[in-house]
Amino acid sequence: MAPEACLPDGIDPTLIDTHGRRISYLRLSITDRCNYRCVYCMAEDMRFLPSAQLLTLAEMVTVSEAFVHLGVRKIRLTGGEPLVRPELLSLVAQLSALPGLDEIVLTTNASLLAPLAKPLKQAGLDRINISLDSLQAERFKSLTRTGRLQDVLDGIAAAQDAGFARIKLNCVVLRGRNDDEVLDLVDFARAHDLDISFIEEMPLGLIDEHDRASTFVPSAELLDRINQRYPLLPTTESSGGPARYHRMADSATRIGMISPHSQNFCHRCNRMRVTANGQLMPCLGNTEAVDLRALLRQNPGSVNALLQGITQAARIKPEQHHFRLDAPVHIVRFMSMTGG
Amino acid sequence: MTFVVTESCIQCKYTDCVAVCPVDCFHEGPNFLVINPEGCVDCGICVPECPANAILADVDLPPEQQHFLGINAELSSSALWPVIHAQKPPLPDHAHWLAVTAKLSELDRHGA
Repeated sequence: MAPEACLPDGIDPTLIDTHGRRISYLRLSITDRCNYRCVYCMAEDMRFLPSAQLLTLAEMVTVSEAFVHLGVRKIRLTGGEPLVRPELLSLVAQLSALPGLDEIVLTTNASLLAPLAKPLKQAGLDRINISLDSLQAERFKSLTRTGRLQDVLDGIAAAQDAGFARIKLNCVVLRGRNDDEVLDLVDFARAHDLDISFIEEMPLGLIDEHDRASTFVPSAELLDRINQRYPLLPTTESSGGPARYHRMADSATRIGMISPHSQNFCHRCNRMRVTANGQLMPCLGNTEAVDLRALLRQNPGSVNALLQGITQAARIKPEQHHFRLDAPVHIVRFMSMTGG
Repeated sequence: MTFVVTESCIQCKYTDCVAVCPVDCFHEGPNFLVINPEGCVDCGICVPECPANAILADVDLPPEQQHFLGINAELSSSALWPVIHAQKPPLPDHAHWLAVTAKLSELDRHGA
């Protein structure tokens, strides 16, 4: 049966927002919990939601099914840290059985990846992005507050052994904290046959650990620095997200720049996010939300009940985010609620 | 590393920790909880939830609480101490026992 056959009258099988953007990519946060407390993501004394408020495994599958019915072709599992959720393997296996879904991908800090890489591959996971902000053990510890660099390096090696290709590193660059490591990180990516993206920090959640305006590094500055060592060739390649990619003549590594401040990418936004407690956020940089959990708990297991809520979210998806570094934080939700 | 439930939990057993543990690694006895060190992912989310401040990282255990590392490992591996999945009310005299610091003698090992 084609997915469209289940759609109630009046629901268009293609999710297009009022600005003409087609939504084909869902970012699903499967837990707000994380074993790290990265300084740009969380408060140090972060508190978390009671488990009963998080979507259950069955609810996450129903949400995914509804999005696939509406034309979503790629689902990224995020957190928190998705590997702390024991149902992850089962979720991946169930998603990989959904007809119409082309790609299941994961963003992780990789600290718990070593023993899980092979089972994830077998369950049907397609690709992995790994957050890595420093290659210096002491500094890695201070940026993550609790992390051990070696665990991540082991996780990367295990993922490659398990057969994952085109693993991408994601690095949030903070001036004075890790911006001096950009070339080291590029060299690491080249040596290990990884892609790498550098991300401008986004102003989500009230943090007091650093002043975001003073740690901001525009992507253009990083490109300049990298270009001096490795001449960069811009490409039009896309991995379906906001990164703009560059290549080097002598390496398969792609270098991406994710520039929410310096080069707004909202006009080509193709995604929506569902938080761990089932709130559908049509835009990371705004506060609009649709409560999918309420719909799920009133109509357990009903994909149809969700379709209306999701199409409503497409109607309220804002044209763009308004991130500013010179004004008070206007999104108080921490990055860990949506997993980026 | 692992997190460890220490003496302050005995006779209180608030179970706020259970509501937030991402990996269900708390095991329950009659008047005490323990953490399974094999399941703990070191996230530390349970620590601020405990009204008795009973949960500490193993590396932060003071000398007089060191033995709880072994107690957690031993009791959590016993079939008589099952995993607890959901929060429940604390023990009836929790308020009284919260103020008592030396209460290891009260620990009911439930035959383990």
